[in-house]
Amino acid sequence: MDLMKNIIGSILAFDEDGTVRGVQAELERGTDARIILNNGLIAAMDEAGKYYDRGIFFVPEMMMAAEAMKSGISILRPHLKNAGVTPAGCIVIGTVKGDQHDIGKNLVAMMLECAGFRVIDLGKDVDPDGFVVTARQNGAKLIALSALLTSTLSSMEATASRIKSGKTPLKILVGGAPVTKAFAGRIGADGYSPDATGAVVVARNLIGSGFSE
Amino acid sequence: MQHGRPDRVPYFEEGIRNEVLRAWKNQGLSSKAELARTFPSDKREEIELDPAPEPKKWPASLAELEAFRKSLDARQSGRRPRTWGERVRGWHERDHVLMLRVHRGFFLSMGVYDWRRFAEVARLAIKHPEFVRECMQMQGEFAARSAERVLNQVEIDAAVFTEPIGGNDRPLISPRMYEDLVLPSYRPLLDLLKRHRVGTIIFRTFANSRLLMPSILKWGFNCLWACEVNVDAMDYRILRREFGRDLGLIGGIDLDVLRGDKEAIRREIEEKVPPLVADGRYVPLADGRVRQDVPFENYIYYRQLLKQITAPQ
Repeated sequence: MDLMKNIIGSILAFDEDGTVRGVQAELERGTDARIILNNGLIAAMDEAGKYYDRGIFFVPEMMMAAEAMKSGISILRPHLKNAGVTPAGCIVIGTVKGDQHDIGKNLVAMMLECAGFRVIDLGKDVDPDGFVVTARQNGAKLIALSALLTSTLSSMEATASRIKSGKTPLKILVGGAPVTKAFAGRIGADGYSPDATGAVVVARNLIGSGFSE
Repeated sequence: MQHGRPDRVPYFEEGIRNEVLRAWKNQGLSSKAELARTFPSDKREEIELDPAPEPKKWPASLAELEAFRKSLDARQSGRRPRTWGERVRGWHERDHVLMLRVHRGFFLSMGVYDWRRFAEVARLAIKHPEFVRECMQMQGEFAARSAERVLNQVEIDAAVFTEPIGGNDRPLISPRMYEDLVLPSYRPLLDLLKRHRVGTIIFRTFANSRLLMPSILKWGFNCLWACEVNVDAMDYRILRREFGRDLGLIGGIDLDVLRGDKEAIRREIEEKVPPLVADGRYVPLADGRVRQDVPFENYIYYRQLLKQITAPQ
């Protein structure tokens, strides 16, 4: 348990080397890779999310924590594969047509990956059909839409409408600087989050947790 | 932006894009000239200084900063257009509002134009704050030298710091980091503006920078212009209550409402504008440039209602 605390502490201190050492030590102790993943790495990111909610962490701190977590995952990945642990939920993400901004969207993608989801990032300026086709081809359950400008809110609305009109039932998560909960409701989105850590919580609520066995 | 008795409440049109005008022509607008005649606005000009030269590769260490520092010469020829002298003469005889854009803000000064550099700067801010501090400081000094050359020739009405730093729910960096890495680098400019008695110092920001407000006020900014905002977070009425009448405000009208129905527009204007105007130091304006999906009819209604509500009693 102390070693697990080391992993969590290292991630919260943005210490990549410390995280790697912590994961290696747990593996050497014979701890199940799933336990290290859930009780160490993902638990640390959940804790980082709480720090964000409390205004202790901001975006740079979350990014650094995620980087430390990823360094731990890279050590753990072969062990997870051997244990048959794979990402359960697939999420397609992108910035809507007409919007060239991707920093917020990339943050959300990074946090979703850290939570164990398989994330297909379509980038920016994405056509509505692009979201729907990719989701269908990859069996995604959730599409996450981002917009930075008020001028592209109408594009977000059009994209949501296109997704809802398709035959495949897909959940929609929206966010971005000018997006409000009221706007999300108006365009028929299933979820809204004002920030990247909240997006993980909403995604879990909409399609379940990230990993399955 | 003084607590005086203006003959009217000003309106700064930020410019109607051509694609919007094209859409409106199909909805009954005869010409751009007609629009300007029907809804006159107060002319506002913004002098844009040449920003610091962009390095081919943005520095990521103190050693790499030296080459960048050498390129920051505010007196370098070619930094001003050939017509500069003519423009200065025009500004001396102007009867419109003249602003000077003095700084482009933290992220652009650090070369953040894409995700890769954003991630690099986030890492630098945490692991090597001394580098970020120095990089910002030398650009702040450069901006002050550039601004001084203008202020020695022209009297301006306001200085504008542009700070695209907000996310949906909060600024991208903490107030503590902002006060540590960014605000001290604005000191040379703020001192310069004080020496030149520039009364209005505008913090033009985007999205939700609410948490930075106490910091910027402490450092001497006295006017907020929040663009592309999450209206729930940046309600000017609430900001006024919290920070008082001395905080000048530009904007505050939810652009998104103009897409909706007239009732929503009426509610937005009637609820927000009169109390802010009554307090003074407020220029009502939508929080972004009007876009194509705003029906012409709605724009007419918005401008007429604004004119009516802000008319002298």
